Amino acid sequence: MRALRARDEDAFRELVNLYQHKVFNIVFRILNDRQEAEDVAQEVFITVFKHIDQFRGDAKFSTWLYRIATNHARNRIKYLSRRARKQHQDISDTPEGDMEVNPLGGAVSRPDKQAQANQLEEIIQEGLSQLQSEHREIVVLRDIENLSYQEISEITGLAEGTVKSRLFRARVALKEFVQARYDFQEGS
Amino acid sequence: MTQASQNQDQQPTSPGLLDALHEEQDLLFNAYFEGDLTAQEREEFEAKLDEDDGFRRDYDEFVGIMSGLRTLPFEFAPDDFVDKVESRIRRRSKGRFFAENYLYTSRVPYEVIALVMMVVMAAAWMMMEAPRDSGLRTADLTIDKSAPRDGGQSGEKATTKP
Repeated sequence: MRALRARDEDAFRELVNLYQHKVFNIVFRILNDRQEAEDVAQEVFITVFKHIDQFRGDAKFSTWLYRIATNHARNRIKYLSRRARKQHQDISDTPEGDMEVNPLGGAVSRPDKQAQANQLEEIIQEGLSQLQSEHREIVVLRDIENLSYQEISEITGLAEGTVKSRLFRARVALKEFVQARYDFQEGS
Repeated sequence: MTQASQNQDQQPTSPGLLDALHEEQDLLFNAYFEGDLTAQEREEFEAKLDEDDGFRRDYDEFVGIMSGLRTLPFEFAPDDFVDKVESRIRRRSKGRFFAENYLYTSRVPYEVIALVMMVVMAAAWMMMEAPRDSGLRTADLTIDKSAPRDGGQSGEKATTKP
């Protein structure tokens, strides 16, 4: 940490090397778009470097880092959502007619591509991207990253009870989404 | 649509009651999955799983979705991610962010080069000017010893060499 505060270049490289995949995975699962995820993940590390002096060490570094990551992802969702709304108003006929632009910025895969991949996995990812952003980030942190309620509470700034109730709502919504699109009897 | 929900649909229940039943079932699934049930509640839940096929199927679907979430493939950052972050930092900070390290470990700082050049130039100037200066100083101090030592009363004065 001392080396980071002294802006030691090697320390910065080591930090990015250590956390790049974890941060990228979280951001990707929240945004469901590789390009956006890469851009946001880079911004996350730039924010970390700019504000490294503000990290007081009273929380785990990873918690602080994931808080920055989820904040950036949340802001990007808002931005993409605003942009999508504006584009929807401005343009009624998009050139990419076969791609469904969803309000969260991700794109729904074409049926032929979906058929080639694991169907349940695709539906789950699609369902995840359809959840409200505040629900989605909690599902990502709990069910994908396997973090504890306390860590999620520290990352999101929400009370543990709120985290639990949001997680429950999110899981129910996801279950309903998947059940409406996937036949477990045939799929299993 | 599962067996349990089909059975529930066939029963003469109001939509509100059905929603409440579904919600209660989801709450139970979630609590069991999270390990939040008491020992007695857990036993009752497991007994129902054994007795009620529809309930078991619904729970298996719920677990299947949760497992699907946990086994989503890990997405790796691109290979050049670190370099991209670094170049973005350099671009944004105009090369100042890592400046201290970069200047003092990888190359001679510009300030040092400038200082050395100034010293070299000053030394060169002094070397070029030095003979003429000393010559003048010698000339100033040279006294014509042939002149009488009468305190200058004879009207002759000390002269300088040309």
